[in-house]
Amino acid sequence: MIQTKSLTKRYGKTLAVDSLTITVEPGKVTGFLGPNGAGKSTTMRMILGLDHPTSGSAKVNGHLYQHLKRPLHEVGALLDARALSPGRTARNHLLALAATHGISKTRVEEVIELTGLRSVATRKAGSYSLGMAQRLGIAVALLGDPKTLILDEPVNGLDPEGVRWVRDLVRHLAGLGKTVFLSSHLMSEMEQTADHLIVLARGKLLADVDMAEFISQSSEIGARVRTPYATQMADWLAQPGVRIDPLGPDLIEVHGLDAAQLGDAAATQGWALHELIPLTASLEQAYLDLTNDATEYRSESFEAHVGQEA
Amino acid sequence: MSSAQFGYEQYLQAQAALRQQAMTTQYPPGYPQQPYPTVPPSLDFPPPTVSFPYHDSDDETTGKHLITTGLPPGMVAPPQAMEHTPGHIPVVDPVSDTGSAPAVVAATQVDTTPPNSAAAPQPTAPRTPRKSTVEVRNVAFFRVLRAESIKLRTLTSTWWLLAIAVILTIGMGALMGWTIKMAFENPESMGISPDMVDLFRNMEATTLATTGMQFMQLVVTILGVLYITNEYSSGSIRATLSAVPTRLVMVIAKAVNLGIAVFLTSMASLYAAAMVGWAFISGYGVDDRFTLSGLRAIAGASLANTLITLLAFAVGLLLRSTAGGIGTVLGVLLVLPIITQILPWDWATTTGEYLPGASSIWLYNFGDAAAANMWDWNQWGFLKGLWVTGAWALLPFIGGLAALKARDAGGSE
Repeated sequence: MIQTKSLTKRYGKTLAVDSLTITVEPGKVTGFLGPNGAGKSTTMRMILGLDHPTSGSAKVNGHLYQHLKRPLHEVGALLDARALSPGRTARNHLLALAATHGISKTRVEEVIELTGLRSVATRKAGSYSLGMAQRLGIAVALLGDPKTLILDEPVNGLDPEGVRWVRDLVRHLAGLGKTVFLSSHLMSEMEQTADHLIVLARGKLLADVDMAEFISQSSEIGARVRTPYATQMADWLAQPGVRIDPLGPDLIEVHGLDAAQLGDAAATQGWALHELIPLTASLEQAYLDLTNDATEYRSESFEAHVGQEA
Repeated sequence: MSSAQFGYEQYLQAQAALRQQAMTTQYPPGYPQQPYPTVPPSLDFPPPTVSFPYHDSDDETTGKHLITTGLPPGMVAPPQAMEHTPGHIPVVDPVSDTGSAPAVVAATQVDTTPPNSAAAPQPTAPRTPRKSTVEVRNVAFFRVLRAESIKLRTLTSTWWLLAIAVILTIGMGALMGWTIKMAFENPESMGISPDMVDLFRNMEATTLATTGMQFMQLVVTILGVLYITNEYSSGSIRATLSAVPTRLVMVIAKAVNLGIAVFLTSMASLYAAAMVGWAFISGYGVDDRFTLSGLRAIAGASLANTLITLLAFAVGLLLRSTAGGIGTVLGVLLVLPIITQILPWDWATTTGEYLPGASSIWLYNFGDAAAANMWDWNQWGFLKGLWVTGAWALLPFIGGLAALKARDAGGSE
């Protein structure tokens, strides 16, 4: 359980986090989304007591982080996988952290095994790929068997197998009743992993909703239909509230009617359908719709700058 | 092609083309051809009146679950069942055409066994955690002390720097011993006056040992700076402070470890240097290798090294930068003394005496004058050397602690 109350962080004139009040609940995977520079990492650092809030407070499992007696048992954090002493091996890094809490060597070996670092545990961290460093970061987060996990971009740099493993892992941990708070820029991954979403932009809270609700909020119904009767169908369906985009000789995309209505409509006319694919709303689209106005570093349309024919 | 690039005119053109194509397309016999509807439909469609028979069954030979959908009579269908296994392209077997009732079969495999149960686990495949009981104890100073000692020992530069310090100290001791031995044997050829030879006759072994002190100090101060700035340059300070949120505990544990390491290394290498030096001057100089006064000098020198290293550590803590920290410490140890000597005023000379390099010498100088002032806090001797050098170590350290508590954890992003 993580609770922040009017959490604010100001760097000079920049308001990095603006009076953020959120609750991250146990038993769920909560996704933390926001454009670059939205204040996600700053928020996470304040929760971990690393950065001091300008005002407001952040509590983990009911306590300020600084007051935790066994912080690694309360919170496991992965902030920046690359933040490793380059000359130290993974095992020594873990052993040093374990020593602060009297955690046994057996547990260190256990998390090394768990994260698949066995074969590289004695190599210096400076030689690690980003994926290996991420695994070590996750090993650190799991070391003290924490009740709450805070993971900043945990799948960044992982191979597909690792990405899936992280997803299964956090789902598993949330299933055990633990609090999982993770950020990611990979929307498809987040969509499969998180139950709840907290969206931040320019330090302000934009949304704090369940995943399904968030996606449905900004989605429209529709379906892609492939049929030899595309033209007839397009003409027949044309009416206010329905938009039809022809995509090919026998392919149309219908907005405003769902797949069931389209299928039923085709059946009444006796039109064979070769494809009927519901247009699923994606987290990515919902997220982009929401943050469109609030992005700090917006990419300009690339068409204006690249791709002009010589 | 998306609708954005598709204007209304193009849309109409495409429609006309589609309509033309639909009119001329040859459909298989049995395809329901309907007249082109003229009335737009309502959004409330009636349920479909055509019902398609379907049944599902288990294939007895493969154990796969089959869903078979019949087609309206008269429609052409593939001659036999197609089986689709995920990851495989369905293949139609031309031999087993029985000419039975036309049917399209969509097969879904119902898994009764876990996937890849027979496959060997990959060596680096991460696993799902088992439910385990992990013993986790409260953070305590002695545990942090142990953790920081692991970190100091697993820092590559620690061993390099300590090895260089030891080699320099012993090497300088040996070099001085050899030079003095030469002076005793051939004073004329080396151009050394008889007075100087007399002076050498009272040479103590521990004095030889401390010849390399200045070099050693430079090396151990680099260790002092690196031990803390390494955490900032790598960013591991965040992991460190996440595990030990009480920052004072973390930094005091570091200082204690560093102090012990430098003190013990200094003691060992200075003692070794005294032994080596004595091997050269035995028979000429004073043998204080095993005397209390000899040990006192070596311990005092080790204390001086330790205090200077803590000063370097504190500077690293304040500046959080390896280059800045080492530069500042070398400036205080090497550059400031020269400046204070050059400046013509008395106060500059006096200030020079209070610089850490100069004040720390009194911690291991037990000559006649120093011995007389040993416990006088206001005359240069052991006590004054101790409090001045101690202040050089302690004041920046307290400043570093306050800054550490007040500032954000930092570490490179």
